[in-house]
Order: sequence, then structure tokens, then C-alpha cells
Amino acid sequence: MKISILPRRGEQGHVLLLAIIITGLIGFILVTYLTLVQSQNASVMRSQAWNSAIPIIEAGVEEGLAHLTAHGSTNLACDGWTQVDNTYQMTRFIGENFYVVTITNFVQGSSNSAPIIDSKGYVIMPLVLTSAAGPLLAAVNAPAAGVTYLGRGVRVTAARDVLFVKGMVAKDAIDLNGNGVSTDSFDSSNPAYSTGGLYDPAKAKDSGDIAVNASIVNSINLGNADIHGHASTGPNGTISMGPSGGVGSYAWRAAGNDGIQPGWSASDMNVTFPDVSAPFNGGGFTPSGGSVTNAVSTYTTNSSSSASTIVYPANPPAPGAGYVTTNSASSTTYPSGSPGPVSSAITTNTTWVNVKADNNYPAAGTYIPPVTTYQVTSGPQSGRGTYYTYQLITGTTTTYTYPIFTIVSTAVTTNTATTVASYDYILDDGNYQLSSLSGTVYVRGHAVLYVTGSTSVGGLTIKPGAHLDLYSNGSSVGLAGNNTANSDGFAANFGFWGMPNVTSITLSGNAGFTGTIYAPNANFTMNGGGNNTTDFIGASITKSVTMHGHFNFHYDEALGRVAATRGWVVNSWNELEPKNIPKATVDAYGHLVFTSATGNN
Amino acid sequence: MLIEAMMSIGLTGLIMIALVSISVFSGRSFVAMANYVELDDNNRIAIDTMTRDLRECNRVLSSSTTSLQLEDFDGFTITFTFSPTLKTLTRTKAGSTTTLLTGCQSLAFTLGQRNTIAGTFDQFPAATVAEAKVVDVSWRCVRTILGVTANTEAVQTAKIVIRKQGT
Repeated sequence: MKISILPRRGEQGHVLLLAIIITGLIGFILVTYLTLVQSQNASVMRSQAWNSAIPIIEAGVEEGLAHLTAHGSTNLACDGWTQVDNTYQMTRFIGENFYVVTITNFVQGSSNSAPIIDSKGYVIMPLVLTSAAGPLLAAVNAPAAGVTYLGRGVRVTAARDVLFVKGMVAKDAIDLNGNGVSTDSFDSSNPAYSTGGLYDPAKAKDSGDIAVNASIVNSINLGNADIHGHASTGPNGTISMGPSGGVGSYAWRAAGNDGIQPGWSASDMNVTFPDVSAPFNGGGFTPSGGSVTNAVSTYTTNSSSSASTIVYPANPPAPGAGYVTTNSASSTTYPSGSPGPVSSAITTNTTWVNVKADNNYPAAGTYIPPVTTYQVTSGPQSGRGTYYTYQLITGTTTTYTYPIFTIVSTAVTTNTATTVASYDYILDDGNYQLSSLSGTVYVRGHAVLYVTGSTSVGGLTIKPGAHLDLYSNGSSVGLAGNNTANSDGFAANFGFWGMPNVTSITLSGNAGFTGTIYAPNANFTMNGGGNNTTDFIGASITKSVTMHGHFNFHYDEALGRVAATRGWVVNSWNELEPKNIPKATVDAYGHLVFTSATGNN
Repeated sequence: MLIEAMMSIGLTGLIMIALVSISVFSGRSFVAMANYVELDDNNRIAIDTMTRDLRECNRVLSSSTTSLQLEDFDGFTITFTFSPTLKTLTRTKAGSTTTLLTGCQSLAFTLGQRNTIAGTFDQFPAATVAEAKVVDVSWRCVRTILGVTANTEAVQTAKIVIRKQGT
């Protein structure tokens, strides 16, 4: 007999149910796991895109800086840049990615301009690229329809990269090998640190910095020089000095310290020295010589015996020839002709009276109180009775007080001396060119002189307000004589530019120099000699510097603000908020479409 | 019957061991993956924040083995502080402190100049903070699984240039 044992109804499907639950659980865990992995993958992909936007952005920043350098003095709306109002813009693709860079806040020709460069970089989202792009996408520069970009942006404020931010700069070495050598600084644009724009020892500062770009041992040899400023070398460069040499502030040196003041040296000099190009190609005039007449007036003041007193309002003496004292005078008549101010005071005149009361009481306004009453009871009958005693007003007197100016003048003699000087070259406004230069130069305009060969300046005089840029491509340049400077003493008015062939510059013969020297391939030698303390006022950038004899080097800090620049650098760098980065997509026609962003890109 | 019972018990045991092994392995993998995701996110945010701060800042004010102080572009001071005890990296600005990293086993700041050593991609070390133009930062963060520092770690290193060049 077969016995069939059927499962109870309540036990049916347990295995199936358990299998479904376990499968569901495993499936859920698997889905969670995969989602986590997918999120991580997407996050990493986006991070890669986010970071890869930086090189694109920086490329835009660099183009903006380069464009400012190349065309900042003329017109920015060129080389493919478009202008809308005061905004200049360029869009450029780098492979599939691109940047949009704009320049704003730029004032043409202004030395205080601080342009703002906004660079927005757009890179293709890798996930989108993977899913939507075909294999040909990477081979073309044009954007593909349906592509979405990740945008990121940076705002840069640019600043001029001024050439002469330090006093004495050399590519290779500085050798201050002489007695009485020193450096310091002043500021020709600040009356607190200069007198009439000229160097004044009483107002000197301690920014007479020296610097060498090289990373060599003893790249700066100070000897016993007195450096009132900082000293810098390239990495691993060193500074050697004698027992009395010193680098530091005026206060630190005045305290008797030698050596290097803590914090006043560094070894991180890192500067490029671009070559000098010819200022123009052809068209320069050939300058000629001639005579220049100068009339110089001098004033002699004699203050010993010819002083005289003149009562105002007589004509005052010429300014500077006397001085004025002020006194006060009074009178009862109005001082006609007085320059004032005139003040007045009214005095009431009175006299004491005794009158019998038989008369009326004194009328109001005719006396000054009090009125005293007294009785006379003896004596003649006619004299007896009541009496009043009081001050009877007899009238008024007006007194005027006014200033009296007394001028003590001295005799002034004006002497005018007329001199006539001859110069080998006289320069007015314009461009001049010479194959070689030898002799004296007088500049009375804004001139550019290009010397293609040997250059030997016997004397240089620059009229106040005039300016000279002297370019030379001769191998050896000599600056000699007692007047190798502009006569009003502003270093910004004379610039010497040594082109690549200039390998030697010599300043000698007790020549004073006021100006700037930029000759990155030249060995610059200053031969002082004698007992004179010759001054170099301005700044220099050369291959090397050797300073013999008595030389005082005074750096004009104004050059760090107004003199020549070599381009633009980043003064501030800030990321833009994502909400300020328009979203970029490509429409069905392959055109870039920008829409305002409302959140993260 | 006995043989059948023993076979059943043996098979069941094997299946159970396999299931437990799979579960434990899957669980550990899952936790490790979650750890990596969390580590990765934290590291990314930390390096992003630090990179932005360094690029934007004016200069380095001070530096030690456990901290880095910057003068931000707006004049405020930003301080990154690594606590070897708490194993955290924090960022403080204007009195507000944010924890950027946890489980940080090691962290180091190295200052460099902008000058590159010839023939290399490295920079000359900065002798003082005044010379610092590049900051090299590296750290190592770990996470544990059931209290054990397994293979869940993240090493992050970056060399960041201060972009401000003007005087």
C-alpha cells in the first residue's frame, strides 16, 4: 500500500519565499554597492574635469597678460580680440576644451591702470564625452552637438612688472671693490624723502637694494661697502664681505653693526632679463651739433645796512627781499587807507555835578546812576536844601584800533649770467639714429637716440622737462665727464638701453650719473678714483657690476612706480563663484550656447 | 539513515561556511568601498580647499611641521593645523574652524621657492617664509574595518604655487 504524505498547507512555499527574500536582499545589496561605485566613478570623473579646467583657465590668463604686454600701449581690440564698450574678449579652443577670457578696467596709457582679467575655462564632462561622443570627436576642434561643458573661472588683477624695483641688479655678479662705497635710496616724488625731487642725504632711505640672479658662491662681493638696503642672490648664492662691510637699515648700521642684518638678505632672486630690441626700424633723423645759450639769473641780498622801514600800504618789496612785522595802533579818527581789520570802541564822557533839588531831577539818559541825595542845613539860607550828586553825561568818544604793517626790506641785486655751450649733438622731440656716437649731447625735447655702433658720451645734458632714451648696440659704451646726467636730476628722464651686443659699460672720470641703465649682457664698471665721492642716482640692471673707488649709489624709489615695465604679472588671483560662470552647451547646429548659471556647473 | 544524516549535516555545514564566508567577504568589501568613497571625497574637498587658498593668498606667514599660516587675499589669516593626536587637519579663518581631514596619520608642509632646480621639476627649498612661493603638501589618511587598519588608505600630495606675483 502506498502511503502518500502530503505537506501541510501551512508549510507550502517556504523555500520559495526564503529564496525570494534572500535573492532580494542580495540584489538590494548589489544595487547599493553598484550605485556606490557608480557615484564614486562619477565623482572622480567630475573631479578630473574640475581640475583639468585649471590649465585651460591659466592659458586664458596667460593670453590676457600677453595681450596686455603686446598691445597695452596701443589698442587691445586686435589679434582677434573683440571689443564691446570697455570689455575686450577672446574665445579660444584648446583641443575640445576652450576658454573665454575678457579684459576690463583697462585705461589706455594710464600708469595706474589695474586691468582685470576674467578667464573662464570649459572642459567636456568626461561622462558625457564617453556616452555621447563618437570616436571622431577627439580628432576635431569643433564642438559636437549635445556636449555639455564643465565651467570654472578665475579673476586676475594684473599689475605692471616694473623693471627697476631694486637699485642695483646684475645677472651674474656684483663686486663692490673700493673704499667709500655705499648704497641707499630716496624718493624723487615724495618731498619727505627728497628735496625738490633731488637726493638729500638728510632724507635718505634704506632701500638701496642690490641683487644678483646667479646661484653661485660669492656672487655678491661687498668688500667694506655700506649697503643701506637688502641683498639678494639666486638660490644657493652667497655674499662675501670685508670686516667693515654691512647690509641693513640705517638704524642698524648706525648702531655699529657690521655684517648682514637678520632678514635683510635672501637667496630667492628669480628674474628674467629680456633682450633690448631696436626702438624703431629706419626713419630716424641724424642729429647735428650747435651752441645753446643759457641765461642764468642769480640774486644777491644785502641785509647788513640798507634796511628801511616802510609803513603799509606802501608797495612791499620783492618776495624774499624782506620781512613784515605787524603792530597795533589806535586813534579817535577813522584810519583811512588801513588794510584792516579796524575795530572800534565807544567811550562815554561824564562830569560830576551837585545841583539843588529845587531844580528838576536829572532827566533820564543824561546821567549815569546812581544819583545821591544829601541835605545842607547850615550856612546861608540860600544854600540850604536838598542836593543831588551824579555823573552828568557830556558826550561820547569813538576809539579805532587797527594794525600797522611794517616792512623791513633789504636790497636785492639781480645778476644774470649768460653762458654759451657747444654740443656735438642737440636733440629735440623725435627719433634720431647714429652709426656711432662720440661727444657731448644736449637734449631739449623727448628724444629717442639709437646708436648702432660704438657709443662714447663725453657729456650729457638734459634740459629740465626733457627726456632721452638712448639705445646702443655697440660693444663698448663709455660714459665720461663731469656732466653725464640730466640737469634737473630726475632719473626717470634718462634711460640707457643696451642691446645684445653691448658687453661693456664704463662710467669714469668722476662722472656723475642720473638715470637708468638696462643692459643685461653688459659688464658695468664704475671707476671713481680721486677723492671725489661720485654719485650714481637711479637704477641699473646689467650682467655684472664692478665698483671701484668712491661711489655712492642712490636708488630712486620713484622708478619702481613710473619707469619702464617688461609686461604684466598677476597681482591677485581669485576663483569666481560657480554662479558667475555661464553654462556652456552645444546646440543641435554645433553652436556654443551660453546660459546664465544658477548653481554649480 | 545515519549515513544520510551525516551527509546532510556535512553538506549543510559546507554550504553555511560558504555563505558566511561570502557574507563576511562581501561585508568587508562593502565597508572598504564605503571607506574609500568617504576618504576620496574628503581628500578631494581638502585638496581643493587648500589649493584654492594657496593660489589666492598673498604670502605665507609661518610654517611648521604641523601648521601653515597664510595671509589671504582679503588680509585675513588662514591657518591649517594638523593634530597628530586627534589625527585631523583643520582650517581656521576669521574664527571659523572647519575640519578638512580625519584619520590623518601623517601630514607635512614643505616650502619652496619659485625657482626650479636645473634639469628637474623640483624647486629650491625656501630658507624663510618670505621666500616661499610654492607649498608642497602631502598626507596619508586611513580608515579602519572592525577596528583594524586594513588596506583602506589614501595618500595625497600636491605642489601648489602662490599665484600673486606683484609687489
